[in-house]
Amino acid sequence: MVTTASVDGLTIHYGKRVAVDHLSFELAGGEIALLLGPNGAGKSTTLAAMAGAIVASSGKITVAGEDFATAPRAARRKVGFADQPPALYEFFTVLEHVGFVAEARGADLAAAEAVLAQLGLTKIAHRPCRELSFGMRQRVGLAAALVGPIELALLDETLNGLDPHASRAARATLRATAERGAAILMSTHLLGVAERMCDRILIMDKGKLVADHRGDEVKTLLAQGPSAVEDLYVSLIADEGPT
Amino acid sequence: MTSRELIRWSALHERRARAGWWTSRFVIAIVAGGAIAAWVGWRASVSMASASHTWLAATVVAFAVAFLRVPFHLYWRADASLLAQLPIEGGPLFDAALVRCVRASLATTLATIIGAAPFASTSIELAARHAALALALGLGAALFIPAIATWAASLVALGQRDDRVQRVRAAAGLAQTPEPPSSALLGALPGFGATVLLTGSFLLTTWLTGGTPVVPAAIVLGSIAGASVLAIVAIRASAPRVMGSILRDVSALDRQRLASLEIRPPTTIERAIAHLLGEAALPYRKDVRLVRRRYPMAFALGALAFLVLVIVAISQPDDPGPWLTATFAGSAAYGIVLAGRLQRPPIELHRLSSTLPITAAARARAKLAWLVGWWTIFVALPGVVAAVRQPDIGPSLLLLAGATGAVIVAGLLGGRGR
Repeated sequence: MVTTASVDGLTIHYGKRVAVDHLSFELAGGEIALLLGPNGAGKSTTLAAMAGAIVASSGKITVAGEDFATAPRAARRKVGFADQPPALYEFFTVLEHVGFVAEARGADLAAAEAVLAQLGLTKIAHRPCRELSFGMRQRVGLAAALVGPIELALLDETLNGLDPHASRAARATLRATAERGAAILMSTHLLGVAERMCDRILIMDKGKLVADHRGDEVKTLLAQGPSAVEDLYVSLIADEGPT
Repeated sequence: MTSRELIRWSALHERRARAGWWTSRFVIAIVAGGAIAAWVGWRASVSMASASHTWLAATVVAFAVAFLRVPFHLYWRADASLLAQLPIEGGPLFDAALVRCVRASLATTLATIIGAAPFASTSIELAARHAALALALGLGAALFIPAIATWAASLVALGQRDDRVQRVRAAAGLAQTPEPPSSALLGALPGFGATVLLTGSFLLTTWLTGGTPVVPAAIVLGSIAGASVLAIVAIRASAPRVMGSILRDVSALDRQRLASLEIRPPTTIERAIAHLLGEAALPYRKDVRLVRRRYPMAFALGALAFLVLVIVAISQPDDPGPWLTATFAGSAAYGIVLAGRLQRPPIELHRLSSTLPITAAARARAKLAWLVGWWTIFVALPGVVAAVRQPDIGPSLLLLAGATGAVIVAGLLGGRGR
């Protein structure tokens, strides 16, 4: 498979604290990867850096051949990021918000309408963002992340707070996005929901990658039972509380 | 919870929200008062009438802002819906809101009284006359406008549910089903009250410099003070019954009103500006829509500035300096505030923007374009006309150029800070 995103030696400092420590991995087009780890492991920081929201202290991030350091604008055009909490223009309607993001990525309003329809949000398309419930905001954030010609979707806890219908629609949309050739990297603590769709599992702890299971390894792992991923996580990560 | 307890909590929250002693409203009042006094003192070297007009212009601007802020002290507050949910009686809710209004009014009154201090060097009586008008307007801001605003809110919040109103509507053959309450009352009634108070001030222009006014000063000042006290006594009596509903319904109504945001296409001017901006057109169009919805006051105050400048241009007063200075300086101060607001949520989401293929330079250019467009239409164009219509063009144009420069610098610095 073709490499869509590459993270090479990514290091991010917050003052003296090292949030991400020489992290390296690649994502292939069409791959849905799960990023797991305890609170404070550096998952959100990694996702934000891959989206261009945080400048890396060192290391290289490439998306679809575009290097964030040398061609940030071209790279951003190919990345969709659902932040936590979702950053929404409160005084825009849902359609306006997603339409603005679509236009920024070179797509049109029809693309925004299409992704809203896929996620079951057409009925609230003309409601102001500031009126939305937690779950609705998550879904609008997801729609904004997926709209346009993206090749990498980064989702930070985006599946949290969705009702069963919304969760199903979100998974179907993510699967369709992956089938279109985009890579998806999502962090979550909802292992059950994510296990049902992932091709790969990355586990981070203290800013480093401590496990990377893919392909048949993941299938074998999931075949071991409903709590296999949780067991793997617990075996790798010591319970030290927030770091 | 008693009024005293709620006021204590409210004061604690305000103290916590403050960045430091230098942002205390009384420190700001003293600084603003000093600035007005300096301006008045400078104009006093021309003539006492010019100094008095200067003071009146500054006082009208200061109290207009104070009047506009009253609904925000009463019910357009972030904590309105939370307070409405708590088991707090309407009386304490109203008292806490009224204390906020009184404190804000005290600060404005203090600033304008300090501003009148230079008159004391010439005549204690003239200084006292200016101070008396400031005190009367202060009473209006502390009591009269809050009473009117509370009454308007109670009409909006309770009117549609009132059986008597429904019966009257039915008898008149009007709609049987309740219509959404008109939130226009929330701005219209306090606006009307503010207009009455400011008109009263203008009636005393001659009296302030020792002349004989059209209406005796005692009647004007006494009416303002009397109406303020009577209005607040009357509204306090009904506050226990209505204040909880006001907080709940007006904050809900605010959301409802925003739920049907006016989706208007960009104006011709906005489209033309966007056309010139290239890469910045998209963030500009976004900013235009968001500012229109979030800060409609920018257009109301802009229209007010425009109107004042047109009146000055047409009427060509003997001493246009105070009016032009107050309008240019007031508009520039608001423009500088807007330059900061354009950089903050809900207009700009830096975290989201940093992940989109829009350069920081394009975002900054879009905001500068909005600010310059607003300033040009509402202030610069009518300002130039007003200035060239006066006998002494130079100082007015210089002042306008200075204010324009300040707004542009604020816009540039706002963009560079990100």
